[in-house]
Amino acid sequence: MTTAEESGFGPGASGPAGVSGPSGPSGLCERQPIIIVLDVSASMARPADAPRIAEVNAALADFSTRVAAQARMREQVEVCLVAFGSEVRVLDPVAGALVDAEHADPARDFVPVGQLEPPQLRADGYTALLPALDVALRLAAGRRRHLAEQRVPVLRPLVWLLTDGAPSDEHGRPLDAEELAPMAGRLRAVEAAGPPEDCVFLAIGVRGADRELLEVLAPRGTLMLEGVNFTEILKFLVRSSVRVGRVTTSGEVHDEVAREAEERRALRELEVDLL
Amino acid sequence: MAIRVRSRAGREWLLTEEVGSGSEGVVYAVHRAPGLVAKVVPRPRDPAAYRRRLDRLLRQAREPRTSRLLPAGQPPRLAWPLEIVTTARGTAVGCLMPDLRVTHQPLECLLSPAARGEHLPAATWATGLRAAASLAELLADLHAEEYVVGDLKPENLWVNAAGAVALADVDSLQFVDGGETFPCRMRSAGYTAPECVDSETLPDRASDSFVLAVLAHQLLMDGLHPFHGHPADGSPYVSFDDNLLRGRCRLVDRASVVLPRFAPPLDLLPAGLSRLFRRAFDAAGRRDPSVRPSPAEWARALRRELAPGRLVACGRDPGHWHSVDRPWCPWCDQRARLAREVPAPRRRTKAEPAGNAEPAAHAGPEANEPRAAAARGTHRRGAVASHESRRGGCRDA
Repeated sequence: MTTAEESGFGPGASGPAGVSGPSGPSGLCERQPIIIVLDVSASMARPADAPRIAEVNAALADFSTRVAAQARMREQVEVCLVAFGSEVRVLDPVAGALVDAEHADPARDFVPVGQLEPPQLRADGYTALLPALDVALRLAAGRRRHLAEQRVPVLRPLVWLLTDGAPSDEHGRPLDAEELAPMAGRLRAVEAAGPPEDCVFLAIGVRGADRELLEVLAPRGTLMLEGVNFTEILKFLVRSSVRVGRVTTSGEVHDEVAREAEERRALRELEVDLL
Repeated sequence: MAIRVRSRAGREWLLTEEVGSGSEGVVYAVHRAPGLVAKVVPRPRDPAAYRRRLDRLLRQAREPRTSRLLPAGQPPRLAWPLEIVTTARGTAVGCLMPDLRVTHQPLECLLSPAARGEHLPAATWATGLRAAASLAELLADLHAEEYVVGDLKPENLWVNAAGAVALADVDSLQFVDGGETFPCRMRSAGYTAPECVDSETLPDRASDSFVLAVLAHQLLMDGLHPFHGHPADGSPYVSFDDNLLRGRCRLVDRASVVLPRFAPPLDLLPAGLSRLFRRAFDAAGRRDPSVRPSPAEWARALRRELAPGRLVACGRDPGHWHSVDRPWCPWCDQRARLAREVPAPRRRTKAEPAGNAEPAAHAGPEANEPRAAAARGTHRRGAVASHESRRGGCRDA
């Protein structure tokens, strides 16, 4: 019996992959950055007997083990977590804590998907969506630039919003479609831009989300996944990210993700209760 | 919750655990039927055509055309549909198939250095060579019986420890039956021949041959895609397909892309195989499908490299095998280059979260001089994760 280090083609398991470890990228595959923009406003603390934030925490906690078995996914996908309530914070994976968005660093804040270890999240505050999307877009562009400088082939970043509510300003005043329009215009512009400026925005609404306002931001990229638990949502999100990473246009990404969501919905309808 | 399905004869099965998903449909383990999986396609693009396609494939399984492809008593080479099923609720169609997880691992487990260490630890370069030969033979046999794979890609391929390859997703094969063409319209980026990229052109044997060359390159080059690399002219990286359409390929033009210094050296390829790769990937091979080596030609060339005397064991590391054409071990070279570029990895503890340092400095085109290792943060390894048994994922060997 040889050890992993002795076998393999070349340097084996501790070879190129050892650069970031068995669950990380090897430097010999493309990179797919994804940014998860997670709503942790006060509404996520409801319902009191089974708060949604507890479900999110549980789903995030075993997320890395769930994807660990998928060789291509864990070598390709890298995740940045942006959490927002009244304030926007970004997961600093080195500190293992959420830090104020002004300290966000695209060189540091993306981790291989098999290594995501977020702290327990608390639901609190309003739904300051616009500053959160601003941070996400800056991180997406910054990450792509950083990897391109390292000469790492990087695919177009994907920004996934997960929300259960309606956007407000930092003081809790609800925003209307007109106030969302400038951000919607900015999102359309980055989606239409060519590489290396482009990224794709997708919005997932869970129970209570305001579909009409989400569709202002993502007319073709809004999915309502009410009644689907967060573990399934995270799986869907990463699976779709791998599948659409090399798709050519943002329109095709939206179509493909919508098709997959529809397939999943159809499958749930086929299920029978065994009890 | 589960999905209940039944065959036309009225037999029922229960699908409880999802084990994978394809470009169309989801694959489940079959409750109390080890050795079987079921694919359910809830929304086929054309339900009547999909049903007819499954009918024909099932009938063909009893014809001489396919019995040659499915020899009894050997590990399966094709997860051929065994039975058509419909769901008890709703109107979805699907089929039962042999579960390749029983005998094989996903091909990704051989292509990814990290997964290989975990799941196929005894695999060497010779295993990659055997797998490439086995895949070429499988394609040659399918082509001889007038099947085109069309959506040939790692996710649809499986391999065992001996390097024998099997194909899943048989229901997406392209074939003609009773005068009707059953087309394969699936495309997978990175695994599409240039004439089919962004095109409605249906795949054919020559487009399969192109993708075979891509997969053979990955199998022999430690997973490296032949069109991998950052454009050397400074233009932004878009995708493998973009590099392909623009002729950016290290094997054809070293100056076209920038690759990490620790990428497997090109000269590890035996001269005969290098020539075949060039015929598939150079300007002529990209433009003119008829000049690409066929699967049969690949199979012969790859088997030749497995003949006695053609493979050499490295004296220093029992896991290192290479072609006799290479005077010394390419894998020892690669290890040395990696050691120069990247500080030895150390295992990460729970208290010490994953850093995200980038891999080593990248070599410019034609760059040969070793550069001093750049001062970087410590590279950390992630905790070895648990293994979830699923299609498309890797399992314990």
